[in-house]
Amino acid sequence: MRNVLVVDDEESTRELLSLSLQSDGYNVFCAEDGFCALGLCEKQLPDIVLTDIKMPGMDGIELLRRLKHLNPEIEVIMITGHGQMELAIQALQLEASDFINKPISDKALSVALQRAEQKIWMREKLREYTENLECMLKQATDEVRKRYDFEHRLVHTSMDGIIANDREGNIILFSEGASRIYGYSREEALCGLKVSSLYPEGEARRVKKMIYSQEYGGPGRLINFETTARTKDGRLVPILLSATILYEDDQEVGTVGYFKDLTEVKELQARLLEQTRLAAIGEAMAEVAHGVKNILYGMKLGAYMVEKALDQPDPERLRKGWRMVRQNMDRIARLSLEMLDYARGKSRRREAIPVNEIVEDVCRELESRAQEVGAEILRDLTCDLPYLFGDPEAFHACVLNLVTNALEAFGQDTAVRRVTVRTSLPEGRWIGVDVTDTGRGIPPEVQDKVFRPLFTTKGARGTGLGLAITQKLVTELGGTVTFHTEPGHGTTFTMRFPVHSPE
Amino acid sequence: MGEAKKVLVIDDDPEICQAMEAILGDNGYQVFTATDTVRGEALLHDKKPDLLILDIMMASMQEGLDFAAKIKKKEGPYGLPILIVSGRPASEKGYQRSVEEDLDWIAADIFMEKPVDPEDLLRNVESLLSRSKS
Repeated sequence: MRNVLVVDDEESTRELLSLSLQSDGYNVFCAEDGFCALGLCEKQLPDIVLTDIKMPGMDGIELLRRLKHLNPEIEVIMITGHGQMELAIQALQLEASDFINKPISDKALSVALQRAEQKIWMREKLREYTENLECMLKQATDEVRKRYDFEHRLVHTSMDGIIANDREGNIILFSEGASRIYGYSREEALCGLKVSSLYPEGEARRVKKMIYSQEYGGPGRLINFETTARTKDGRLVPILLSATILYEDDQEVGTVGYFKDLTEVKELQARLLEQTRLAAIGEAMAEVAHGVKNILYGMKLGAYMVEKALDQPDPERLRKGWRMVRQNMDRIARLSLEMLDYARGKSRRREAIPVNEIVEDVCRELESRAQEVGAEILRDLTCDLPYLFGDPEAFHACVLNLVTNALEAFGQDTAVRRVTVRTSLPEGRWIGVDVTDTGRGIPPEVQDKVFRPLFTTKGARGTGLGLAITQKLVTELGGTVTFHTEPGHGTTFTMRFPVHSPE
Repeated sequence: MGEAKKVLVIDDDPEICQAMEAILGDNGYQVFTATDTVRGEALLHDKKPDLLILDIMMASMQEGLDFAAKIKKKEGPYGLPILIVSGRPASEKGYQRSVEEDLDWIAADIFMEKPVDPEDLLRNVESLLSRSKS
């Protein structure tokens, strides 16, 4: 409800207006002169003032001036008598909202009030709108500042070094992380340091080439590329680099790179590797002891037979016992050789390996062994295979191990005894060698252990190293070895090597 | 001397089986051998041996242990003494407790660790058989 102040020296006019305004729904209070009016205004500010222009003491013009001084938003409607047009004009110049002539008609009054109301409403809307706008502007500004602060902190508190350079190779951004890695201060870096001096000779060119290449994340990007940084004092630091080219309107403007110092990671990796190695050695020793005990058992039985046969004497028994001793000696020899094989470092040989030729060799070598167990070895070779690159002896050992295993996979009542060696070129990207047998298959409970060193299902006949060595060698040749088995029907071991172009 | 005592040897190494056949045979036992538990169980029914010598390192150790426990639970021809030969010392995985504590669980009357001395083996076989007679 709006407050209206009526000011007139004539009581009858005040009462008339007051009744009329109250019935229109206004909250009305009255004053008989200007001083009274100002006194009331100090207690409660009216929205609209209706004032007579001619009053004793302080006239309406003076009151208008003081009210506008008090609050320019008070709407003042002047009540004028006949022939006071000049005063009325003066009042309008002093920003009175309207004037009405005496005698006051209801219509003139209501029009004047409506206009005053409209002005108030518009002002309120305007204020609301302005406030909204200011609020929105403030929010947007805050957002931008927050984002900037955040990004600034992100760049400079990042543990990784962040470095950006323009197209000419001048450094334009050098984070605190970058300073930690390189030893240059931000100022040093930004004042004429070229990005190429952050790498050892030639490395910057290689990195640039990698960014534009398909590798490590595709053209224009580089993800987790291992490289080397050269620090201010000339030290070389292993670095994991991710980088991206910066564009402005499709125009290449520079490059930004994220540099992660790998020194600690590398050290931890080395330590972890050493610990794993020691643990593996411990486990391996226990397993070796177990393998040796199995062999010794056979030897003891053989030796016992020999001793008894010597006493009796019984040449047949002597031969049997002696054969057991000999065979177990051979097993110990094989175990120690394979342990050496397993323990020796990676072969540095890198030659072209004729895959099919070596498969043929292995099949020929094992022909007589196959006959002993009543099995046949079938070959299903793909012609014109590309060369594999690596140590041919390692590849030979892998094929030999898998085919030997296959020949030992038959149970006593396996009817069909067949081993198939297949070479293939799946998708043109891999060299595949599959060895399939029609043997017993691998029981489910031991399937996850077959590649474990010294695990064997062959009792004293196996050393438990064959598949472990095979897996190690296949990995060294860059390939993988997996198997698929159906208990009772047979097993296929599959080796896959990536096709390389000869370097 | 009465009828020869019958001993069943189950070991997945055929050569160990052969050697046991020779050694136990020399000492007056009638020997049957099997390289897996399925064949072993068939012989158990057919031949009704007086003693079983079992290598628990079959395809998996569990196979040997389960087999021994299964035999121990049954009556009749199954209620025979069992001698287990193992390549694993008692302290290793699979035996969390000592051999003595585990003897009823692993269901063996005698547990020997490889490499087993043939003389000791013969002595144990003899003692188990004389015990079951009385």
